[in-house]
Amino acid sequence: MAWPELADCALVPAVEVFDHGDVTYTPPGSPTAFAIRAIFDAEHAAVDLDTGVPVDTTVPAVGVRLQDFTDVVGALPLQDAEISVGALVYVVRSVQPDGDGGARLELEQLR
Amino acid sequence: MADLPPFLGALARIEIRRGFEQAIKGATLAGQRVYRSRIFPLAMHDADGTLRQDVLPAILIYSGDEELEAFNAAPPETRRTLQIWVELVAQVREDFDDVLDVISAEVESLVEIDDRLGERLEDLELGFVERTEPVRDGAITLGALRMRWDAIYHTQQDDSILVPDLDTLQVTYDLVEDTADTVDAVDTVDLTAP
Repeated sequence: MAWPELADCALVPAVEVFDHGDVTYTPPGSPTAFAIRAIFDAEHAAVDLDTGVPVDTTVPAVGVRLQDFTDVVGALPLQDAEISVGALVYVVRSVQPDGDGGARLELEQLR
Repeated sequence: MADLPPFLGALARIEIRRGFEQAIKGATLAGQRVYRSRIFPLAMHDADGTLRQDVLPAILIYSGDEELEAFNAAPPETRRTLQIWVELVAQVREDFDDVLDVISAEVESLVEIDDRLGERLEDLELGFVERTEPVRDGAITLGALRMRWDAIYHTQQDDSILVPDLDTLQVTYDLVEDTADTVDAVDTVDLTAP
């Protein structure tokens, strides 16, 4: 089995197990929201602006399996698309493919 | 300088920071979000991850370095130049530059209304303005604008604390003709008597 297939074999159960279950993807300019499988993470971050006080925030991102994604949405993930995770709404700031069939979507929070 | 009670260094710094806060708080786009020497971080999220809309823009006020120079020997007087930093923090959106420029203009005009803090200062000058690069390390993009004011003021040594008033003199007499090294008379002079 070639390396990409091996990597995908690892990705399939990972996404299945850790899928957040409440994530939708809306392509830029589209009214249609697609329910996607995604691993959501928003760990804490203290942002240093070189001012007198840090800002407590999070680093939100979702991980997706690109094959799953294209099967549902019909296209690869795009910057400026909208992602909702439950009641939280984000815009895709950066699409970061991992080269092994997955991608991390770095998010900016809208609300 | 007005004839005011001694303006001691550490207390003066507190008073100057408070003066800035009083001039700015509630009078700019930042509203009540004006903090002096803030200890806790600005928390952008509720526990469920919801982005809070009531945290930014915010203004931070704190003092920095202070330069001292001898101004007068007697009575001892020191001329001090204290750096006061006023920092504006805002979320980077399309109107980010406008927000920071509006608030900084508001701060500048508010501080200039009383740029001697009720005669406490010799002078107050805006010496430096810096815009930081937007930081994208978190769920929102943040930016800041820093303003440095140079607050010039004088402090006098408080003689009332160090040297008590001269109220009485204790005088002893040792007459020359009397070879014995003994006190021949004692007197107390009361200088407070009319």
